[in-house]
Amino acid sequence: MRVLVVEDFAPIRNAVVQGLREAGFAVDEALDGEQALWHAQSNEHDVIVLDLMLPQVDGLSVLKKLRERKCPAHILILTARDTTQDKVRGLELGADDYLVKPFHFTELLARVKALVRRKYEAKSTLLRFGDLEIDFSRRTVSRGGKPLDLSGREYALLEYLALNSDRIVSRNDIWQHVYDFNATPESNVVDVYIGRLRAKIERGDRPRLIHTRRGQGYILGERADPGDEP
Amino acid sequence: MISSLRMRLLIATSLCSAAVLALLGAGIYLAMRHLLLSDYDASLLTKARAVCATVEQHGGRVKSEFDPNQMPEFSTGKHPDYFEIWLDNGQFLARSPSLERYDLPMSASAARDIAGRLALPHTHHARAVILVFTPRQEEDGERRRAGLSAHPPRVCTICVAGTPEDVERMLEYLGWLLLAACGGAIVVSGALLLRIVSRAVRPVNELARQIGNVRETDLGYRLGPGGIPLELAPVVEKLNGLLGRLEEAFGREKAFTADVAHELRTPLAGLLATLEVCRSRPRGPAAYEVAIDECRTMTERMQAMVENLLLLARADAGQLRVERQCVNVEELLTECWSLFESRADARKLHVEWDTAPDQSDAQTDPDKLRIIIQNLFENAVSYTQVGGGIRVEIAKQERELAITVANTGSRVAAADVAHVFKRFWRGDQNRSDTGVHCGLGLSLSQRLMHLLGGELTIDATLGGEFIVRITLPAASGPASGAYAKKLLPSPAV
Repeated sequence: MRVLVVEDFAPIRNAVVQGLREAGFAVDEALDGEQALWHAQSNEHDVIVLDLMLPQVDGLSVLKKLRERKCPAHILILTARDTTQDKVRGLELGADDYLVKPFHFTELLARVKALVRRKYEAKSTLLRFGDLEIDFSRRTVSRGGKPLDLSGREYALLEYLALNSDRIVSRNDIWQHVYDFNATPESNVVDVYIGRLRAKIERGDRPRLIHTRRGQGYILGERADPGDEP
Repeated sequence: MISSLRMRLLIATSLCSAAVLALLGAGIYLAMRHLLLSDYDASLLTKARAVCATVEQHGGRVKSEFDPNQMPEFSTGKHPDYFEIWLDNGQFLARSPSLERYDLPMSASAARDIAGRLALPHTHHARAVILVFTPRQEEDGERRRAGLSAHPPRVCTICVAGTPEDVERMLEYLGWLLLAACGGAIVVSGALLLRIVSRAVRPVNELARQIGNVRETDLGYRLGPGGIPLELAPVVEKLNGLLGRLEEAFGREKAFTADVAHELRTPLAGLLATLEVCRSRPRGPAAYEVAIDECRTMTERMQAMVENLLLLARADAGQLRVERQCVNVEELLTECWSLFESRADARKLHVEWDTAPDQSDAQTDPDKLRIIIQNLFENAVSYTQVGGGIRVEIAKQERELAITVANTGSRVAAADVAHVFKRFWRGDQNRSDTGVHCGLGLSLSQRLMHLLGGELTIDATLGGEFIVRITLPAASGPASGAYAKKLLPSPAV
């Protein structure tokens, strides 16, 4: 899941970015409103954490512009302004959540995760595909009751596939939402990550769960399709 | 003292109307009395003339032909009239039967003297008229024919008295009538006045109700001009003015509180986020070091800001004491600069000093001055563009010492100079320096300068020089040079 953190006060920005990355998110950071707009335009984010008092373009204007541009990201306002008036204004301008500083990072993380689930319309924090179980709140994966040890990136990739299990996700989608390198994706990089993930969850003779659709991408599910590549 | 305006008005108007009515009543009574008594006196005079007609002079002799049957009013009765006639030599001639053996006064003055005290039968208060007359002469034709001169006419005096019983009854009746009328009028007018005064003071009650509506949470409320009489308009205007000033002050207070909250919450949030993320998993010593250093920097800045806020609050509350001593300002400036030297070097700032140690003594409070100077240096070092210049000058004038701290690359335009003294105002309103500068330094410095009896002025042109100039009263004697070197927290606020 890709998150954009917009915050001008460096210590908060650094901590939030580090915390989110360590939680498996792909994170972009912006120091001011202009950078925020640029990032939001050039990448597709699932959640944007937005401070209101920003240099150049203030937070509310950023919010307004993003909504005018039909930016699909869920936006969480993170600000020191705590009056009901401020909150109402922010939410009315199109924010999805509001968190007042000072905040607990665990709460911010929980809210960001909740926004991600909301974006992909997954109410439950537990998803099952056959005997594969993904627990979003604890970030654990098990297959056949046996816990699997995934790296942050591998988990993020699996989570993205799980949340989009109703469709085929392209390599570009994966690149956009799971990795925060500002570079052109090379298809085989994504394939390498998929390969590693497969090696862990489909170890031995377990049925295949991640299916490759030639020329389109990947889909997570129990059912195999005739067109699937081995 | 009666505190109710309504009662005061009521009592005053009631007293006035009662006095006017009493005067009017008394006037009417006296006029009527005069009229009735004159009328009575005239009737007495008529009676006197009638009695006079009964007196005749026969030759040298005068005699009264009075017949009590013809004028029964002079006989004894319940309220008889009286008369008595004397000759010019004072000799008694006749008296009415009603007078029995009493006498009436013979002259007007005597009558006036004993008025109301005439010793008369049946009455104690009578009125009297006195008439001097010449009786009719019965001449015998012989003497006239003989050419003898006639007897000289005799002059008589008559006093007629009577009791004005009817007049007195009428006057008594009139008196009671007037008293009742006045009393009634006072009662009725009192009731009317009560209503009128109540109506008149109703706008005051209305105003009180409106003032009662003002809540400290809604100072935008203004007292309406509707139904307010002209006399109360200035009160309403002044009250509205007061409300306006209160609203402004509350607004400033609110904005200030919001700013303080933002400035304190932001570094607090930074601290909390840094600490929580750092503790979320085991890390190497280097990562902990970085986190601890970041936290220390944020804590120091928060401390500096809290110190400045406290100083400002104490200055506002008049709790800051100024302890003056002779200070060598050049020495103090050098000491303050040592805190900023490394940062200035890091930003490649060119620093120009124009000071003379022997020409820079001032009589002032070194602790306060140090705070001011550190704030000015902090701003200069932070806001000058990399590679820019800072200029520090001390100039001794007649009775004061002028210190100038100027830096290039001003972010403040000339038009915005007035704003820099506002708390939490920053040249860059976008707050690019959150947690580093919050716009209290210059406000505090100016406040402290005023406490020290000096001035702080600013000259700026956008992109040009930002010049802060402070003036202090110069010292008369040489500086002792020894003052408490107490280091204050970094003024990075």
